[in-house]
This record gives sequence, C-alpha cells and structure tokens, in this order.
Amino acid sequence: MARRGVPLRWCLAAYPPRWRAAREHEVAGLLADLADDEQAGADPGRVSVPEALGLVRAGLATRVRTGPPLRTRAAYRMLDARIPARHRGWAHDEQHSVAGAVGDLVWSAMPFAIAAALMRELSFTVVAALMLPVVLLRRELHGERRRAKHLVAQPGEPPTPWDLAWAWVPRRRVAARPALRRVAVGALVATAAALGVVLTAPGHIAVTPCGRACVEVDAVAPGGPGALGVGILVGAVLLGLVLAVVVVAGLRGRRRRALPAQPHRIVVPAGRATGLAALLVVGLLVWLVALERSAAPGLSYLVASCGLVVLLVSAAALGALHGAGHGALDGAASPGGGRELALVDVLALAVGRVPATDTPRAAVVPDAVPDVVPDAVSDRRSARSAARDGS
Amino acid sequence: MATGISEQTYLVMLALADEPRHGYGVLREVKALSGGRVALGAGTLYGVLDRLVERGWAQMSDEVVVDGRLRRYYRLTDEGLAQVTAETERLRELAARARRVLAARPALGGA
Repeated sequence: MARRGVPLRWCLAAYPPRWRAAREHEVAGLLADLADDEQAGADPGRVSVPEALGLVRAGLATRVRTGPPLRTRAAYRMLDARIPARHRGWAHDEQHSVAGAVGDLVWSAMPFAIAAALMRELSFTVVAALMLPVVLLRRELHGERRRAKHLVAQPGEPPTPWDLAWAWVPRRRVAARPALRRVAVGALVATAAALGVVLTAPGHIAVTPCGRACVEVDAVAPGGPGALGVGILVGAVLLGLVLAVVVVAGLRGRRRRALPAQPHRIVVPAGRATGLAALLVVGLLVWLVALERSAAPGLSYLVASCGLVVLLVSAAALGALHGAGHGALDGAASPGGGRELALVDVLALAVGRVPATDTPRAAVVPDAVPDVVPDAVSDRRSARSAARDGS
Repeated sequence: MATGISEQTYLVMLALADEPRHGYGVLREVKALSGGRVALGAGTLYGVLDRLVERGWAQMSDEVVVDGRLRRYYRLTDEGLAQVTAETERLRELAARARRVLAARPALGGA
C-alpha cells in the first residue's frame, strides 16, 4: 500500500533551523500521538495535506517573527552591517543554511533584476543570473570573516547559544590529487573549445611585413591554424613537456623523502569554492573563445596554448603521484587522519623546495576551546617581540 | 489588562491553567473546553506556545520520553495566570452586557 501524506521533514523545513533543532522531536511526537488517534499504525513521518499547509504557514510565520526587522536585514545583506546580539540565532542560521544563500542571492540579484525590468535591458538579467556563482563563492571565501564579525560576542553583549569564540585550529590544505584532477579537466575543456575555434574559424592570424622593422598581424582567409598558429601550439606543447619533466623530477626527487611532519594540518578534498572558481574561469574562457567563431581567432590561441601547458603539467603531476603509489609519495600524517599530499606540497616540490611546516591558524569555532597558543606560534611571536625590542 | 489575546491563545492558556500539559494534552483539552468546536493544528499550537513563552506567560516545566516520543510539558507562569484571569473577567463583563442588550431588544415578530 502506498504511503500517503506529505513527509513531515519537508513541512518542518519551513521553520528556521534553530527552531527545528529545539522542537523537531517534540512536534514529531505530537503528530505521532495524533496519527494514533486517527488510525492505528499510521505513518508518523507523514502528515495530511491540511496539516502540512498549517505547518508550512506557521513555519514561515515563525521565520518572520523571530528574524530581525526589514531595515536590519537590508543593512546586513547590502552593507554587511553587524547583526545585534538579540538576532544572533538568525545570523547563525543565515550563514549555515540554504535559505541564507537564497536570501543573499535575492538581495544581490534584485537591483539588476529591477533594472532589467525598468529599462527592458536583457543584459541586466544575465548579470542577475551571474550573481548565483558569485554569491556562492563569496559565502565560501568570506564565510569565516562573516562568522567572526556577526557571531563572536563583543564586550558588553549578552551571551547567546550561538556565540562563537576564537581558537587555534589546524590549517586546512587542499588535497593534491582531487585538485589536480579538477585543473586537468578544466584545462582539457578550455583547450578543446579553443582548438575547436582555431580549426573552424573562417580566418587565421598571419604576420605580413609592411616595410622596414614593421610587421602586421592580421586575420586572413582561409581558416585553419596557419603557420603562425601551428608554431604557437607546437611551442606550447614543447614548453608543457619541459615543465612536466621538471615537475615529475621534483615530485620523484630526494626532497619529497624529507617531507616534514604536519601536526597542525588537515588535508581536505577540493571544496565547493575551488570547484566554483574553476567552473567560473573555464566557463568565462569558453564563452570568450566562442565569440571568435565567426572571425579570426586571437584569444583562442592564447587559451589553447596556456591550456596545453597546464594540461600537460597537471597530467604529469597526477601521473607522478599515481605512479609512486599511495604509501610512497603521500604526505606526512596530519591530525585529520589522512596521509594525502597537499597541493601546496606539490607546488613546493615542483620548484625544488622542501614544503614548509604548517602552523595553526586562529579561527572561530562553536565550542569554547581553551585559547592556548601553540608552541610554533608562540615561538614566532617571541621572535617578533625580540626583534621589535631590539629595534 | 489582557489585550490582543485571540480565542486560540485564550483556550491554550486555559488548558495550561490547572496543570502542566504537553502538546497533545493541550490539543485535547482545547477541544474539550471549546465543546469540540476548536481543533488546533500542530503549526498553530506551537505558534501560540512560542508566543506565550516569548511573553513570559508560559514556560517549559518538564520533558519526558514515552514510547520514544518526546513530550515537553508547559505551565502558565504567575503573569500568564493573571492575564488569563483578566481576560476571563473581560469576557464575563462582555457576556453580561450582551445579555442586557439582548434582553432589552423587542421580540421578533412583535407589533
């Protein structure tokens, strides 16, 4: 028999996250009691449509009632004005929920959408749509700064359950392998698009002499790479191969065996921020080279040649990491439990340096962690103080 | 003086007036007090309870888990009891005035 009704989880999504955290089990218990009244053995995880509508309406009303007034929201969204302590729960939800991201997007895109409607200019709509990756990237990159600004209690403010505090935490480093894979895929896409334009455009770039010490770079028919284009691409491949050999030598050289222990590091997979940034860059490049499809390519050569270099180097680095095996080339152990090599290590090894030992970083965390300055930072501070005193 | 109390809020306060009750108990008591006329939904009930707690008229008194279901009990505070008493007095006076007005009205169908 098919289960009927609306999932309770969907209905409760209308409530603010902090309300759900406090009351979700209580409401589920109440609805389970009501379901027993109506029909023994009814699914307590689902509610009737009228009950669902009531919960959604009450949830939205709770969001409005427990949130800050409109002027405070507007100042927060548009000017990043600090949220008062009494609305810190709302600020916490905003920075940790999808609804917060949607709110950011609406407020960021609204001026462009209004301009598009008033001026009947379609390009403003495109700008409004482009705000989505911009907003997501901004939340990812500036999230820590915003949490520190809005969720750390200032002197004289009453404590709230959502207060954050400063503490020393391990430094997060992006794992090398997934990051290099993303770079290689991005370079492959951009290079393929640029080469496609180079091969299909109706003209090609040619250099013709125009007198003494004078050359003209011009677009001439027919299409195709032409002698200059072939030279650029072959040169890019040669440069990529040379750099790839250097990178592989660095990754397999003796310095990698001297990788330092990293007690203050957590190696994490490439996150949403790097994915979004790569998507933005590659998307922008593909869009720009696509504009050259009906003319002679110029930027396409630049994208194709740079893409070939990046592709060859990243593929060589991935091959070197894979070929050396997991145990042989993996990075030093970190508190995060992984022995994955970080991208910064690969970059250091590629240029012939021994990777530096990471120091802890100051960050805002939910729980009150004792603010003990680690030895590495303490030593560095002492050295700075001594230097100041000496001067 | 109690002002701005809706019928639903008044019934919930009355349900909490004699003893602490959990959500399901409040719903049943409200239905009984209204003679079966008012059946609150879960969304409405928790909206009312939230506002009562915010105003300091009610507070959580206990929570137990029965058959894996969390039951949180609420009780009226002294201020909440004073508010519901004042509202009851206001309604009593209103009812008395209404009776006087209706008694003075000529009978329907009269000359």
